[in-house]
Amino acid sequence: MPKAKRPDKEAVSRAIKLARTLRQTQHQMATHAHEAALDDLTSALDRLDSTLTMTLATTDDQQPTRISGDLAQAEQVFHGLVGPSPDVVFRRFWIGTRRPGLLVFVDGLVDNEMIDQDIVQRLEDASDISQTSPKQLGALAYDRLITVGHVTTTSSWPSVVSKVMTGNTAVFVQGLPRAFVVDTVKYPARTVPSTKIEPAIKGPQEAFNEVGLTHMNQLRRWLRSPRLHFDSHTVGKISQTPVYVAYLDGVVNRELLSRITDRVDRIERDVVTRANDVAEYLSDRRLAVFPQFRLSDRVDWVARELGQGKVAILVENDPFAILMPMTLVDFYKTSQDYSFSTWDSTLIRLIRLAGLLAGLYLMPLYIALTSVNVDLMPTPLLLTIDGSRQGIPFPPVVEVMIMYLIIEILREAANRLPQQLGVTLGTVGAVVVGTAIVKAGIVDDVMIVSATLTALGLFTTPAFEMTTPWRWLFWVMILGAYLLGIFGILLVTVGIVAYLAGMESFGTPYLTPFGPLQMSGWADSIMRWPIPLLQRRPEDLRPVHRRKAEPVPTPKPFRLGPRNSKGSTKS
Amino acid sequence: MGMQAIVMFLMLGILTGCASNRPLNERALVLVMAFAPGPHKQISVAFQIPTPQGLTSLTSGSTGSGSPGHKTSYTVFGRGSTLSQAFGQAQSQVNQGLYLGQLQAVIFSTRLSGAQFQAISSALTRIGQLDKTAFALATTAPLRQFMRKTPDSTPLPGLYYTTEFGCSQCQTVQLRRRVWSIEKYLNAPAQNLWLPLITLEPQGFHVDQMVIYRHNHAAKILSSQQTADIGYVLGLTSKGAVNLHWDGQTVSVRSLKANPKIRWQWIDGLLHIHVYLRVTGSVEEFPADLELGPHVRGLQQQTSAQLSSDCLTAVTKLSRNDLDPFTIGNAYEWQHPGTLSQWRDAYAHATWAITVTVRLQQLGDAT
Repeated sequence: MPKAKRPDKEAVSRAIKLARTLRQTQHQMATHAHEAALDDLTSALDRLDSTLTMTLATTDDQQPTRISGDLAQAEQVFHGLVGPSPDVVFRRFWIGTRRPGLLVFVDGLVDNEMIDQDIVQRLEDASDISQTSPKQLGALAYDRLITVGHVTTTSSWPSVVSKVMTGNTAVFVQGLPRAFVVDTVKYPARTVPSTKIEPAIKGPQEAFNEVGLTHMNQLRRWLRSPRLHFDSHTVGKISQTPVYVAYLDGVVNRELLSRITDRVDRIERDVVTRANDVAEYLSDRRLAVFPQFRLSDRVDWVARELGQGKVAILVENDPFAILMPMTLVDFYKTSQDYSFSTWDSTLIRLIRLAGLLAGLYLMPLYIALTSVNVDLMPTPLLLTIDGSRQGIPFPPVVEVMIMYLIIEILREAANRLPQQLGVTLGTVGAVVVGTAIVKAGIVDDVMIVSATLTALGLFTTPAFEMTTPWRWLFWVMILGAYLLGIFGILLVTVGIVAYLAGMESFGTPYLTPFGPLQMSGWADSIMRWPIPLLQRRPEDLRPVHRRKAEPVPTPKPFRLGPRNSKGSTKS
Repeated sequence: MGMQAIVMFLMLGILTGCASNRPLNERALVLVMAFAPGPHKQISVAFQIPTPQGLTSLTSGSTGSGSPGHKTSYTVFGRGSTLSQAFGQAQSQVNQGLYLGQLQAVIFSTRLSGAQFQAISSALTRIGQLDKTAFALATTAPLRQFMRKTPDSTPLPGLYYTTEFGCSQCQTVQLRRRVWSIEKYLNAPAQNLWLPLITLEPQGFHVDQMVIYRHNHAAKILSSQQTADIGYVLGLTSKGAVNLHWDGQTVSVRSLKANPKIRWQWIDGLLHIHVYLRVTGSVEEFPADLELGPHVRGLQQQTSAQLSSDCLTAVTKLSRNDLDPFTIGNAYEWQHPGTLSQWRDAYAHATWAITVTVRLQQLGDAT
C-alpha cells in the first residue's frame, strides 16, 4: 500500500483562507437574492472548511514543536490548531515602542483587567526592553511580568497551547524563542450555592459549584489540615478535564487509595464532562443495579466522609463529588442526621426504613393479596377493597402499572419544569389526576392510597441514586407477586438480599455492618448513637487509624446553686 | 448456566399454578354457605354473595354506594344427590368462580340426616380452597328464609359472624366453633359434636343456644339456660349471671366465669364423674342499705349452691340422653378400646357430683 503523502501545511492554510474568501463571496451573493443557487456551494464550503481544519490539526508532525520567536508564525500555528474559534483572541501590541509582542488567550476564561493592566500596560511602558538584545529580553520581560503572579516560560508549543486552553495567557515577544505563560485564569463561575439536591433542615447548607479550585478551597476550609491531600489527574484526551482525588493522609487506607487513583488514570475517553463519566469507570461491576458510589454536592458531607476514611473525587465542571467506597447503609445517611439529636436521627432513619419497606412492598402485597393469596386477607379489608374495585375494568396488576406509570411521568415532568411549576404539577398530579382517575373508574381508591404511599416511601431515600435500584426491583417484586403471590415476594426478597450480600464496593462488603456482622457499625446504621459515642471509623474501610475520637466520660451532673452565685458575684 | 436459568424460569412459570390465579373481581366471594336437606334425600346448598351495592356500601367516599333499598347480598342455591352436583348447579348460576377462601360461616340445618351431615362434613375437609377457619353453626330455620335475613347491625349478613364471634370475652357463652373442629368428631362415636344454634329474630340473628349431635345428627337443642349451665362445665361461659334472694331482696351476681376440671372414676362398677368448678364473678344490684363486705361469704356460698344445682341438672339430663359434649368418652375409649358399648351404658347411669367454689371479685363493678 503506498504511503499517503502528507499535506503541505502552507497549502492547507491557503486553502482555508480561500474557503473563507469564498464564504464571504457567498455572503455577498446571498444579499442579492441568490440563496437557492448558493445552497450547494454553502454546504460544500462548510465541508471543505471543516475537512481542511481537521487535516491541519492532525498534521502534528508538520507543526514546529519549538517556539521560533516569529510572531507571524506563532499566530499561524495557533490558528492552525484552534481553527476559526472566535473566543481565542490574538492581540498584538508594542513592547516599549519598537518591539512587537503578541498575546494569545481565550476570552471568557481570563481576567481581562489583569491582561490590560498587568501585562499589556506594563510591557508597553517598558522602554528598556525594546532596546535590549534578544538574550537579555527574556530576563527583563520576566521581571516585568513576575509582579502579575504566577508566570512560567516555555519554548514548547504543546505546553503553551494546553495552558492557553485552560485560561492562561501566552505572551510572545518578537525575537524571543520562548513564550511567557501568565496565570490569568478567571473562570465564569456560580457563587458558592446552597444545596438544593440534598437539603437539610439544620446544619451546613453549602454546596460545591462547578470550579475545581473552589472545590478544593471549600474542602480546605472544612478540613484545615495538611493531611488533606488532592491528587491531581487529567482525564479526557480532548477535554483535558482536571480530576482531583481528595483524601485524608494518615486516615485513608493506602491500598484503597492506590486502587482508586489507578482506575482514574486508566480512563481513556475523549471527552469527560461530568463526575458520572468518571464514576462509572471506577465501579467494580459496571451493570450492577445498586450504586457503588455516591454523588454529593454537600461540602460538609464530603468532608465528613473523608474523615471516615473514604475517598472523594472532584471533577472540574461538576458540582458533585464522587464518594467511595459506599455501603447500602451509607446511602441512607444524611448530613442532617448529625445535626439533630440522637433520638431525632434514629427516628428519621427508622422512618426511612419504613418508607423503603412501604415503597417496595405495598403494591406487590396488594397484588398478591387481591390476585393470588386472597384467602390471607382479613375479610373486612378484602370486602372494602372489593367494594372500591367495583366497576374497575382492569385487574390489580394493570392498575398498579397504570398508577406507577402516572407517578413516574409526574415525577419526570416535575423534574424537567422549573421549581415553582414543579410544585404546581405535583399538586395537579396528586389532586386532579388522582381524583379524576378514580372518578373515571380506571383505578380504585385503595390503589390511589397504595400508589401514593409507594411513591412517598421511595422518596424517603436520601440519595437519589439509591431510589433507582428500588424502582427497578419494584417491578421484579410486582412480577413475583403476580406469579407467585406472597411466596413470590419472599423469593424476590431473598434474591435481593443474596445479590446485596455478594456485592462489594472497592473491597467493602455492601451489606456491612449487617453482613458480615460488625456490631460496632450498628451504632451508626439504623440508629444513630450520641456523637461522643461514635469513636471509631467504619471497620470495613480499613482506615489507618480506626479511632476518631477519644472516649470522654459523661460529665457529672452540675447544679447552679447559691455557691455558684457568690462565685460569680465575686468575679 | 444459561440453560439452567431458562429451565428455572420455565419451571417457575409452569409449576407455580399461577395460571389459575384469578383476580379479585373474577371471584364471587362467598361469605356464608348453608346446607339443608332437599326433597328425595337430596342436599340443598346455598351460597350468600355480596352484591356490588353491598360492597360499595362498605366504603365511604367511593363512587358507588349502596342505597337502603338495594340488596346487599344475593344467594345462589344448588341441589343434588351429592354435594358436587349441588355445587355444580349453584356454580352454573353465576358468571364468576365461587370462591370459598373468605368464607365466614357454614350453616348446617338441624334437619340434615346423619349421613348427609357426615357427607357434607367430609366433603368440606377436602375442599382445599375452603377457609376452614369459618364459623360453623346450626339452624332450625328453613334455608331460604335464613339466607334472606339481613341483620340490622351489619350491612352484609356475612359480617355478622365476625362481629358476633370476633370478641372472645363478649358473649355470655363463647359458642364459637370453627369448621376445622368438626373434622375430629367425624367417625368418633364416643364424643358428641356441639354447634351453636343460630335463630332468626326480627332484628336479625341470635346465638345463645347449643345443639348437640349424636351420630352426626342433631340430637338435642339446649335452652339458653341449659347452654349457660353446660357452658360452665365446658369452660365456655364467661358472662354468666345468677339472681339470688338475699334478706328479702334481689341480688345479682354477674360476670361469672368458670374454670372446670372433670374427674371420673369407677366405684363398685358404677361411673362417678366429679366436676370441680372454680368460678369468679362480681356482685351487682346489692341492697343499698346493706354493707356488702360482711355478706360476701354468704353470697359466695349461695351462688355456689345454685350453680351446682343448675349444672348438675343440666349434665345429668345430657348423661341420661347419652350425650357427651365433655369428651369424657373419648378419654375412656383411648384407655379401653373396643368397650364403647359398656361405656355408653355406664355413662347413661353415671353419678355426677359438682363442686363449685365461687370467689366474688371486683365487688360492685358492673361489667
